[in-house]
Amino acid sequence: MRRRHLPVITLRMVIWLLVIAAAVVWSTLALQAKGSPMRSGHGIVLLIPDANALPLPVTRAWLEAAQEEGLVVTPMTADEFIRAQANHTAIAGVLLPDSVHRQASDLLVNTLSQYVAQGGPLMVTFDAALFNLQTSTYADKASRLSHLVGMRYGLYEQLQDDTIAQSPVYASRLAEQALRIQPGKLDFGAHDADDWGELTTYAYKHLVYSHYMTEPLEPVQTLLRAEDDTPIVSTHAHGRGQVLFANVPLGYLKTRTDSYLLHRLLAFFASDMVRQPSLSATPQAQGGIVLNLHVDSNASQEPLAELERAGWFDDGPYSIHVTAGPDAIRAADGLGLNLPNNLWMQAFLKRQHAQGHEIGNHGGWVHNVYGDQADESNQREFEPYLDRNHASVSTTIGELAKVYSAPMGNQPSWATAWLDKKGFKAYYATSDTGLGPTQSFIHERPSPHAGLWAFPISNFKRIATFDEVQEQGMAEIEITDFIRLLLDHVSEQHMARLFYFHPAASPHFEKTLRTIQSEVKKLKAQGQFRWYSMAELSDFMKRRQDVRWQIRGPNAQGLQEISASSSTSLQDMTWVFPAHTAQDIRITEGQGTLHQNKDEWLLVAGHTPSLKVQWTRVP
Amino acid sequence: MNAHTASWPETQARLPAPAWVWAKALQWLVLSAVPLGLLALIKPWLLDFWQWIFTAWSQVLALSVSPRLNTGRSAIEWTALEGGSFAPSSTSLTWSVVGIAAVWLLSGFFSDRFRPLRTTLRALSLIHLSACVFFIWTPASFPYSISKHLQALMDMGYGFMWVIPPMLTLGWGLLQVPLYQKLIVPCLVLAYFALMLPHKLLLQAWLLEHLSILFMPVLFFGFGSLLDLWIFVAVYAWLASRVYAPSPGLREA
Repeated sequence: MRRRHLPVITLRMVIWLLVIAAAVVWSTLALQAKGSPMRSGHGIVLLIPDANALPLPVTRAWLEAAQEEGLVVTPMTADEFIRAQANHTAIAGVLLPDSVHRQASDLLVNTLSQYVAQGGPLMVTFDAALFNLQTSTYADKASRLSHLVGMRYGLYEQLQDDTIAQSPVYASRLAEQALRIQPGKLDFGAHDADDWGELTTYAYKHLVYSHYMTEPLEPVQTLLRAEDDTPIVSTHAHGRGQVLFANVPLGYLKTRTDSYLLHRLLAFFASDMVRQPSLSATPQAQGGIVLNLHVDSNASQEPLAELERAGWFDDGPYSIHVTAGPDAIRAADGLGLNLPNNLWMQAFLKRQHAQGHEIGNHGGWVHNVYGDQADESNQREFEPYLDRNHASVSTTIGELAKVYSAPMGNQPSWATAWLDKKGFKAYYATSDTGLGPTQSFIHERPSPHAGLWAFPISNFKRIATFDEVQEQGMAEIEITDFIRLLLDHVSEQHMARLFYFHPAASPHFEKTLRTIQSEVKKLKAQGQFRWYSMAELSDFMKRRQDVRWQIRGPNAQGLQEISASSSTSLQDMTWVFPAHTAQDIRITEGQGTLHQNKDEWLLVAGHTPSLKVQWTRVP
Repeated sequence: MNAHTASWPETQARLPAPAWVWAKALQWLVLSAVPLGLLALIKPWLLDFWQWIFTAWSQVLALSVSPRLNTGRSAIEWTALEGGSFAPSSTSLTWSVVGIAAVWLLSGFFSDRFRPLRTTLRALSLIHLSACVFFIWTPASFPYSISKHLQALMDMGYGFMWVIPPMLTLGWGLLQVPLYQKLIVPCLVLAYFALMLPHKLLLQAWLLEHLSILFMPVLFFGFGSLLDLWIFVAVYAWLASRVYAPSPGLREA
């Protein structure tokens, strides 16, 4: 009988065994670190293809918009997202941005589909995931996300050059409410009679957006549409989840000074679809207005005196910006304020400054000359205008002016750099209309002047102030109603917006000014409103930028937690919880107060460097 | 080999060489053309049949795969799989790496008799290891979905069916078998593949959905066209073994 030899384990085999065992242990630990289900879940994530997309302007635009809207949004690469889904790590919501995430693998698309089917909220934007990874061409006959958004789009094979169309955008009355679109942004036609209002901005007859042509697959709820009824913003239920589809390049638009839709849709997605609390952009979540008076010429002097006599300046603080030179429309016309030699104006500004009003520069020394002629090429000629104006105003009030508005909205990039160099905090802007204080993109890039806050004007359809009412054939009552609605809107939404006017026009708008006074009085009595200065809000926004906070959970019991900290203090930082989404809110660390305001909970932080709050999410 | 052991009929052997070549070429052409013509003729019904098999089994197996004939009835297309393509979890990856290590080590104990099996297992292990490494580092770059995988395998499988009759005629058809067998057997082999192919794809779809697409590379390389080829070789060998060898010398061979 043959004896069978037992296999011999050689030293080489043992070494192999050890090497493989070490590799297994290492890979297990590495994988657990990357996507273990034991880690706490993620909040809202901005899905980018890879880390190289992080510094791109459009990515920055999305993240900065989220930050300004008071949302916790963190970038997540496609690899991380796929790992998180594979390991069943919770993700509160997913944003799929335009422009930076055009290419996607089928695996990513399917993972997104699976995420939504399991109940995850997703926001899909314009050209996201339309192209395949290898060739950067349309990946399919229609977008692979078509079934998620409820309509076919990206139909290049079928439509070729007509794949993308352009049109003004219209919002329904329902969308106006749902997206909390501010008064003046929508034009519902003569007598406000139409059911759909055209989205407007300052000085443009029509605001035209690019969008993909679509074909319906399933019923969707259209919030915004194009002229030919193509859905521009819509929601669609898929599986247990909801998808918000923005058929416009939101991030691209923000890098080109049109941020309104991105900001509104982000806020809607976070509050209504993900149901997350937000960090208010005003102290104690108190809504308000920056009332910006542009004193261009000596024509303003008498109206200012009249306003003062009428007690207008007893309220405030207002932000009064002055063009200080001796001329206004052209050189040597003598129509300017001539502040260095105008004793009445000097005294007036000193009085208002002492009373707490904010005094700033309006350009430019000679209003129209600067406004008409300053451009990117003539810094050497016009920077002295800024210097002279700054010196004059600062000398008058006895301290350096910190806020600025450009004559005729004309602000070359060197002027912004000048403001930064001189230590200014904020400037009025005709771009990004409808936003609160923001850090505007300049020439498609994030502003290099991180310390400066832009205060966009609040447009009323295609105008922004009193002087333009007659030019547009409007009646005073229309702008009066607009301002009243704007005051109510900022109060309800806890936001700050800027409205500006020229005092020279005030005698023709007495009724409007009285309406402002009475409406503000009413709102103040309810504790719902206050006036803001630009500098105060800028300081607050800067402090708010330093707040580091995150949302954890919910766990199996629906318990969620906010943990926030600041290098200085969280004083007056306020988190707004939709009341129907949160109950049993309690502070577990730090100081703060909690009170209910209509259908919201407001959590106001006290003077504390850190805060922890827990609540139970209402299913 | 002497003249008495020649397996060719005497009449053919006596033909001048060029004429013999032409006769064989013509035979090869005709014998290949018949099953191929049949395959081309029944293609729409074949695709209908495959779609029916897929649909029926998909429901039984609760697969998310959803095939449909294109408008020209010339190809089957798979709709995007709803939630069907799963990336591997950390646990799957870990177990895969452990499994690869185990297979590699255990195959080291195989005797020389099992060397081909060891080589095959280790080759498959390397393919799977490369997939694991890929999914650990950059899963989002994985360019294939289950639907694309099935599409590719079906296209290759159908393409392979077009190669079967010419290959059979070239090899087995040269042997001494009756003409009716030369015509029928390739058709039967095609019929076998027509039945096997959709079931192979179904099994792969089921595995990919229940495991993860981590296994797609190993299924593609190890059990795709390579498997078809192995099966063809096996069928060919079986057919050849059943052919009567006329000479005692060959019978003993």
